[in-house]
Amino acid sequence: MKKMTAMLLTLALVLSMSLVPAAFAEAEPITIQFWHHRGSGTQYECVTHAVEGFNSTVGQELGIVVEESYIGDYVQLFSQIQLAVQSGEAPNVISAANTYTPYMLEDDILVDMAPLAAAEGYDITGNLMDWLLEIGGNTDGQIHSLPYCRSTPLFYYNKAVAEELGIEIGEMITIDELVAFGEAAMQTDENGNVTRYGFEIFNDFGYYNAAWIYQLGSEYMAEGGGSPSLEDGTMLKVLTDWRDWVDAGWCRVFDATNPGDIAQTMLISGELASYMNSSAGLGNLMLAAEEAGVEVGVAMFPTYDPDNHVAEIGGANIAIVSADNSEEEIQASWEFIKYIMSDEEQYFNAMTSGYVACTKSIAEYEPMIEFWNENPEFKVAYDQMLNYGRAQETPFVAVGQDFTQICWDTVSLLIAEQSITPEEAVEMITTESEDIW
Amino acid sequence: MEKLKLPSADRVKTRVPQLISDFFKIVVMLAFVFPFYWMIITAFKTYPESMQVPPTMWPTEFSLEGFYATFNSGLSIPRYMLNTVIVTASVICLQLVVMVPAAYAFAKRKFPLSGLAFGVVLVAFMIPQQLTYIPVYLMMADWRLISSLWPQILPLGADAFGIFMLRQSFKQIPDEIIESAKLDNANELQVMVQIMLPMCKSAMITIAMFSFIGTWNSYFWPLVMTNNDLYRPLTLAIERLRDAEVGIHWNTLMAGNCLLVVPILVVFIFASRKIIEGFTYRGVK
Repeated sequence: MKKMTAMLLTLALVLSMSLVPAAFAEAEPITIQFWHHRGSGTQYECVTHAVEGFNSTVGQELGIVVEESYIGDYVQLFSQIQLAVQSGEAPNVISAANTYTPYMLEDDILVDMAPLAAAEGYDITGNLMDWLLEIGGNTDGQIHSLPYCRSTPLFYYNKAVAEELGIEIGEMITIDELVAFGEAAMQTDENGNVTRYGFEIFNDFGYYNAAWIYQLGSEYMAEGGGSPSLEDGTMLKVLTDWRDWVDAGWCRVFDATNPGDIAQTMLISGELASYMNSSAGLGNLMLAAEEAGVEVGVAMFPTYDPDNHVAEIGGANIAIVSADNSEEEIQASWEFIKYIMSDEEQYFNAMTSGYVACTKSIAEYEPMIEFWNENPEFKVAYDQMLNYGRAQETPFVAVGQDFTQICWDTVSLLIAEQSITPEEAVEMITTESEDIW
Repeated sequence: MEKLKLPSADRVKTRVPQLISDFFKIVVMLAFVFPFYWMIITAFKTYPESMQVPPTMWPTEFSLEGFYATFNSGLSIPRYMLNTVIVTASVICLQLVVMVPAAYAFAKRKFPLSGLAFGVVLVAFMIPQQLTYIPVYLMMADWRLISSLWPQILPLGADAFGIFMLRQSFKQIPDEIIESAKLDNANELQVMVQIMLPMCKSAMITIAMFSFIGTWNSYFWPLVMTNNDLYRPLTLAIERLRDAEVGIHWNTLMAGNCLLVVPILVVFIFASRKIIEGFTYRGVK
């Protein structure tokens, strides 16, 4: 036993010592650390495509090597970035959820890319969808982050159910049509238990319900703080409608964890007729549906007002971290970001994952046009953001995520626990958000 | 001679509690075994069957597609597995190197402030590990060790529970045995290694087993302590098989979990008798 212990100890320590990187000693080529949130499946495929593509072309030419690291979901990634900046281990390039960008701007850890673009005469903003420039930090001629994997919520439904009900769902669905579909799609057994729900909304208020507030003519969050929707009754209407749908039985109560996975599973297995989810899940949903032999339809985010279609923009931007990084590293990072923003990468990203291609020029990029013609459901998100109404970027409110958290907590009580009324929910949000503005 | 029989009322009194006890044992056993059963059969299902409602209790067609998908997920599974093995083996070895002398000293040596020192060890029980995440990360960053496996090994080198448990085992060994060994010219190291350790083999194996399970399954510690896939363990790779935005392929995820869990089950099967001994010995002393 002693010999075995000694051998194990020696082996383990020698092996782990050998893994201490020699990277610190190497000056060339410049190594860029890219931290992201895209861990697996088609999402990770997009990352490796971009990194390998860059390293074998532009990177090879300029002596730049990009190393990607999946850190975790948006929250884990943000926490780890904060920790790394504090400890002097900051990465060079990061993907950052749009809702967390304001915090990083407050901490002043993001590079303004506008001077880098101007120095080369690179028109960084002219080719981007206008809505995407409204994110905090990109006003007043500054560019602190660029759209990387931006999403927008879509309406997914089981086509067989729609056909069975004789309901035709077009490109755009109104709330009245949604209610009619949800009610008709619900099925119960002889004991009254629901065997198929008509619809489901997840507890992501700032992504789904907030857009309805804008559609009703109000604002979820005003620039500079405050939520006018709490005063003008639109918050109450949105919450009341949702609760009424749940009480009627056809709208399923969201799951506290993994709601997207569970809803996708239920849609494919026929227990759920429709739900709203990010366009980012489109690629995998279509793959899963195809494997299971189920046909899934995609429509734009449901609207209260067809003349005022508003959908939120979610997902993440890409940015360069200023902390701990040299001018040389920042310039190398900029080269990688330009590569990410190219039509080729935008095309691959949109085609593979379902994230929205963010450039205007992509609409004239031949492979993209061909792909959209063959897979029209992948174009719905692009059209929603470019051609219909407004795509709502997260307002630059430093405590925006705190307000959204209060809404999430309240919705849990209203919809999941059903322990408060919509009126009490509005009161609760009002009271609890007083201190944060 | 006529066989003695218990009156029927007494038989009922004896057997009913036994039956109730057996029933609950079976329920508890099923509750523990069923998740493992479910994990294994789901790993061998095809994707459509893994999504089927109502679910099947046995794969209609045994498929390795989940395992194939795990190894073809774009993640370097062998690399993650190697990291897990290195970290787990290193932590166990390091803990034994630190714990044995510490426990021996607390149990058999008298030195100033030994009571206070042991109290400090016990306090380590009471501090939630989460509180140490950020200070340890910053310390490791200061030492330029973040990009290595060390942050997953060094901070776990001393285990308060192990020191406590091993000390209790050492204390059960009579001092006369140590004295007689010393009369035979054994030095302190020889007493500890050649006399004490063999007599506490069960406790050692129990501690090593707990350490093995804890380190092998560790998720949050390596999540915080690593920024690079090169140094991440298998638990983090399995987590990557499920993605918040893309939906779960249950058969793939369960295949990944099988890879994670099977080594623990194998070790447990071989070491379970010693673990039970480790506890019962102290219990009846």
